[in-house]
Amino acid sequence: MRRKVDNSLHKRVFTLFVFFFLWMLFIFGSLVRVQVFNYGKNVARVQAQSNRTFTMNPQRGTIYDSKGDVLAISVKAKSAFLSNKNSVHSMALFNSVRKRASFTWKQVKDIRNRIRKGDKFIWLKRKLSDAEHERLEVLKEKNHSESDIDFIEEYKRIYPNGSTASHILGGVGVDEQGLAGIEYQFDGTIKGRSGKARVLRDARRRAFSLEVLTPARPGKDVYLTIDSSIQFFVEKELQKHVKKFKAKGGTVVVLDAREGAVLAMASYPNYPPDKFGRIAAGLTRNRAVSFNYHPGSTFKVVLGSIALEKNVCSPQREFNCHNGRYKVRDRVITDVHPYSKLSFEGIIVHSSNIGAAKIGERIGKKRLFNGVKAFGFGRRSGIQLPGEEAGILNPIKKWSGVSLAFLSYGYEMAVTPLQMARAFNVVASGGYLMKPYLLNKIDGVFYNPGEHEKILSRGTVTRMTAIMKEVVDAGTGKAARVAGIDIAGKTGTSKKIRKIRKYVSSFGGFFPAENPRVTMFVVIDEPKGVYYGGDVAAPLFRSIAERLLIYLRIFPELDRRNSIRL
Amino acid sequence: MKTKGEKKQVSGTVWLMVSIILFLFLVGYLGLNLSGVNYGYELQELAAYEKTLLEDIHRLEAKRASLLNLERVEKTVIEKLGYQYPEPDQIIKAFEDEDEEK
Repeated sequence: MRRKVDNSLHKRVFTLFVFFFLWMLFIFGSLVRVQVFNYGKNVARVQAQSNRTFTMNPQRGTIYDSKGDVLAISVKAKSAFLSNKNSVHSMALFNSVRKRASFTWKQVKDIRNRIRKGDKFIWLKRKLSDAEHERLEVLKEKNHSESDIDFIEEYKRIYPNGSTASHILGGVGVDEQGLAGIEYQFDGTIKGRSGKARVLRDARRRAFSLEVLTPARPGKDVYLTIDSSIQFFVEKELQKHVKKFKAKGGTVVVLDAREGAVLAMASYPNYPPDKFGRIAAGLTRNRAVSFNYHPGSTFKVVLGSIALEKNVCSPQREFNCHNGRYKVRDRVITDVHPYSKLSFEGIIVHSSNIGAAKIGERIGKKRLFNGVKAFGFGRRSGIQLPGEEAGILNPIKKWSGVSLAFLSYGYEMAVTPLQMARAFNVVASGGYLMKPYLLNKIDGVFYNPGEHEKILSRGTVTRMTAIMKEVVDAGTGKAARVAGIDIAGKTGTSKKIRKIRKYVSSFGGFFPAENPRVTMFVVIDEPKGVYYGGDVAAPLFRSIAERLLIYLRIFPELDRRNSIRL
Repeated sequence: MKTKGEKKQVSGTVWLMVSIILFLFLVGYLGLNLSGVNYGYELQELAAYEKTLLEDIHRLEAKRASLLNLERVEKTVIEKLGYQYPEPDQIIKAFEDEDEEK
């Protein structure tokens, strides 16, 4: 009896095992069929359904000022497009879109034309504002027509300080490519490199795996030497003065006298960098590096420095100034105020053109040309900005009979405001020609501007500083004087060639004169009414200097009543 | 000495045990694979969340910078709070010790 039961159980277990074995065999066979024989076909089908290869666009790096404040940053933004399946519906839909987002007339015309033409994909607006996006999302929900609105995510460049430092930053195009300024100069570094990735999705389109095919390299952050606070009040003062004198434009360059780093570089008119593509080309021009002009009397600082360095004359030596009229070949050189005789120092302090021409004659063509070249004129300074002009310094073989005299007081040559700031900084820095630079660091690595070339001796610098101080204390630059602090500077007024009564007023200087920390050069282009550098540019220099002194804590020697002991 | 029936019973039990182990192995293998896929989902969700947070940081940084726009700050301080820039004679220098005063 027991044997019978055992046999029956044994049979049942065996039958179950056979079924189980067959089931396993079937599964195994199916797996072999799917995984081995049809592997290629199935993989292709799965990849087509669940794999999606996409481009990973890196976020553009952020641009910071020297304090770490943001100057330019990229954030995600939506761009709207229209799927044009029915022209009538699309036109009605676009009319609704127009009520919810701003468009220029040109854009409206262009979109309408494309709808009429029957284009299937039409950009409505790239990089919408958050409010516009919200309004269009609501419209998309309500829309039941054949045509449809949809959105694509893109990056949008934001310049939080508005038009401040616009000429330094430049701007980007609609596809985030650098078009001008730092954005263009360091585009390769800031924009990074896009990569490719494959995402695996399940039947419900949920991503469950991401395979990076080519890694994206994120855009690097760039730190500049400019201080956004200094830049802000420099631009504000510049704008005020350009408007006050109804001038065509103006430029201010502020350098750290010890390093050559650019603390501020302002040009007016300026522009909002986020609208770069829609701004007239003339407005986007950085005058500090691209405005070529005759330096006029500010160049006497260079002439004087060369004369002292070459021991052509002592500061006390007197020159005949021919009572304001001096004939060189067929040309007559004049002075605003006629002098019979002036010392070397007096020529610079009272800005005598005739005296300058006489000093130039004593220096001689070759020595003057080499000296001017040593100050960096006639070549680009190498600042990290696109579109820098080299200025014009003709070789001696192209000089006429009057070139030496004219060059001595800043004519027959062209310079940029940055070149002049750099030249003034030679005296401020103790005789070193420094390369002006804007880049502070990239990716944590500080920029090294290299060795500074010494071109003036200590003695020349001391004598020139004293003369330039006298210009501000008793000469043509009195309007640049700031109570309690010594400023060394020089005024300049130059007439534009082929333009009647059009002048460029300028003033360059540094402070505190004994231990300079800041070198500044100011240019006002075509002021109306008064046009002398001492009347137009020097007051602007003073207004900026007053604010810089407070900001940089360079406290003037104040009256005892204004001092307290802690 | 085992009988023929006992031998068959033993080999059947072994086969059953082997099958159960194989089945458990398969279940375990499938379970591990499923949990791997689930971790994949979680990872993707967290990666997307991290991306959102990083974007939020950028957005907030941009917002902060816009709020600190000096034009806006100056306007607020002067027009709403009634402040003004100091005149040069309003600046008072404070000395920390007598040496500096000299």
